[in-house]
Amino acid sequence: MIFKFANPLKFQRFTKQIQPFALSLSIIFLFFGLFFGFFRSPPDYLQGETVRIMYIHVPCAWFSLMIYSVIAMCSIFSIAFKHTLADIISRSCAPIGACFTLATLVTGSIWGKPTWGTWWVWDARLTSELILLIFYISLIIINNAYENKEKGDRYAAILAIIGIINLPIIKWSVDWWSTLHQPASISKLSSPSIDNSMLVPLFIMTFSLFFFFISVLLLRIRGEIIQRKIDVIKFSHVR
Amino acid sequence: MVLEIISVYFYRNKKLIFDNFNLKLKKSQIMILIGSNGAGKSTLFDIIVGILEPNNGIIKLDNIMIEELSAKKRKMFTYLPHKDSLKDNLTIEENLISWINISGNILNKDQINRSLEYYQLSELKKKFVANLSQGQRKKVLLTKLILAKTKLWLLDEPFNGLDADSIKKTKKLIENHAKNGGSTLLSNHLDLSIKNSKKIFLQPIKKSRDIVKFETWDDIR
Amino acid sequence: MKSDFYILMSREISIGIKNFFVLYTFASFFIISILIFVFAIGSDLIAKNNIYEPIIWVLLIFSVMLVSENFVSNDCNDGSLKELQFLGYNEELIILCKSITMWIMILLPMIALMPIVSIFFKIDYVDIFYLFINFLFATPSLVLLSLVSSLFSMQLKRNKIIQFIIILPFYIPIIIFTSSSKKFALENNLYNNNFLILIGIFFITLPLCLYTSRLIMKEINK
Repeated sequence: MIFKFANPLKFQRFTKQIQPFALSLSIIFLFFGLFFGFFRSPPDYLQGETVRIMYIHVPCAWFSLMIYSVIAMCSIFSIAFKHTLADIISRSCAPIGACFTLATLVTGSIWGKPTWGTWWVWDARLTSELILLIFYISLIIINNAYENKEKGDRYAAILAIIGIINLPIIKWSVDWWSTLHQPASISKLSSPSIDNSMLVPLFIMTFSLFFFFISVLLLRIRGEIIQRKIDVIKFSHVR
Repeated sequence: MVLEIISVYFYRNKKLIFDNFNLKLKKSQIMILIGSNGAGKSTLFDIIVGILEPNNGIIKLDNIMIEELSAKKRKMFTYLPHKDSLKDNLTIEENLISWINISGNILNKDQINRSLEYYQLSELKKKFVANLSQGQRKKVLLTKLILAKTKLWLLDEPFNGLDADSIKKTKKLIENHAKNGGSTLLSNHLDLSIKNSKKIFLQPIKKSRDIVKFETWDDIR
Repeated sequence: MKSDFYILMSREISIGIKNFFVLYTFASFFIISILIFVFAIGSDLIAKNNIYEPIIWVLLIFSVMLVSENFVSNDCNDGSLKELQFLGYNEELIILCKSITMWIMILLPMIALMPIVSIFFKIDYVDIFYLFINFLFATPSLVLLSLVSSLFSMQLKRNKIIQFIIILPFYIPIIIFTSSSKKFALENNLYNNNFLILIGIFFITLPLCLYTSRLIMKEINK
């Protein structure tokens, strides 16, 4: 199965075939998710109608972490086997992950204004999400900082590997720090039991965003492969 | 065989630099690599000493693969690279002592003093390297050859920036080394004459790649 | 037969002694930037609120990052890092020796500077003891991380500020556990054991930094 795509041209064709399916699945799920979220789920007894932003906010937060783990796995693969596809995937994942993280932060603070009364709290979750955003940004920067594309890929992979081990430590210490600075009452965002009528639109939205992620990723991978081919052709003609 | 390079392929910046390159260096043989700029002379030296990994091919020193010799290889060759690796804020003498230490030789003050006389650097030996001219720096670098006890010398453009007298002396040094059973691989961008030497002409590869194939992932790296 | 570690250490120290000027610049940068903070916040406010710890640690991070450039870039520019590599020295060992030398050369003399700082900020005798302990156990990881960051920036021709963006997030745990030991004392009763966490962070940072610097050093010559 893997060997079938051990060829950039075949993989490019494959992405071209799969991408419309993913995009249309994403749009269908988005339609149903928004419908259930807006009209078929009850308002929260405490927060009222504002709780509906959860259907965007929570999946985005999940994906911001998931995409980082994808990048981390690709980086290990790229350091160990020096496979170009791993480099391409991690390079195209980083901006998408940064966008999901930014969306999480923005929707979170929009949600926070009516419920907590402020746009921003130095809470453990918010702070570690912000650090994740900074991390994505530094990955994007280092991907493009070097004149040589291969070098940028390699250094970004090294940075991501430092990140895998250090991000849990940073998260843990930020948790500790925030409990030190203020009581932990605020961070009771998610009540432990969610009713099914809220859970269904949440999962539908998660699927929608997942297929959206897949379709954008395939698009970016295709663009990256074409860009690299152009580079090779340029270099082969200029002596 | 002191040095053996077997079918080496090497790409750099999407450009093919070595296409099935072979080289064999025997005992007490002098080999000169001649090529224009960008022909890959320095790259070849970097591949031989194991800093760069070739995309394909084998390099053997004394019939042992280069990857298997880790700390042992400092006793097997003396490589003088293009960047002279002299510390500006140390004197000539201190630089040489530092080099002797890291290359695994045994320190002997008399030997250093005697070796400095060969290029008439004895009066300058307490001078900081930062104050030396380009040619004098090169002479300090070549003094390492007198102190070295290895059989294989790898010299990357040793005649750059030297005056005629010093070039003659360096040639003599290399010829004496060959007489004593050592072998030398050196590079130069011009043709030059050393007794009993074999010449290899390196040229930048101009493969016409009108039809670019993208068959493996490595092609689009 | 001398061991590689001994050879490299003696080389680093003999070069470092000649570079003693770096220590002066480091110490004067530290003192001058403390002066800037005192002017910005006001000396009374610092003494009243006891906020000397964050100031000292933030300044220490920046000055260590600026100084670490001297230890790597000189070696990289004149080709002697490459020389050490092709002579078959282990890359991890090279960086380990560099970090030990940097710690001995730059950060141990800073302990002598701490009494002066304590006079500036009117720190108690008990508190300065804990400052010493934090200093001893946190600075090794600072040094290692800063060396990795300067290795990252070695091949950046244009924009050296990128190294700060890359590596500053990793200083967050260290700065949390060094600069808020006073608050831990009030709430968590961890005043005496704070440095254990710093030791833990050091033992995670050490292998990680050595491994990544090996990966970076293999890339530098390409």
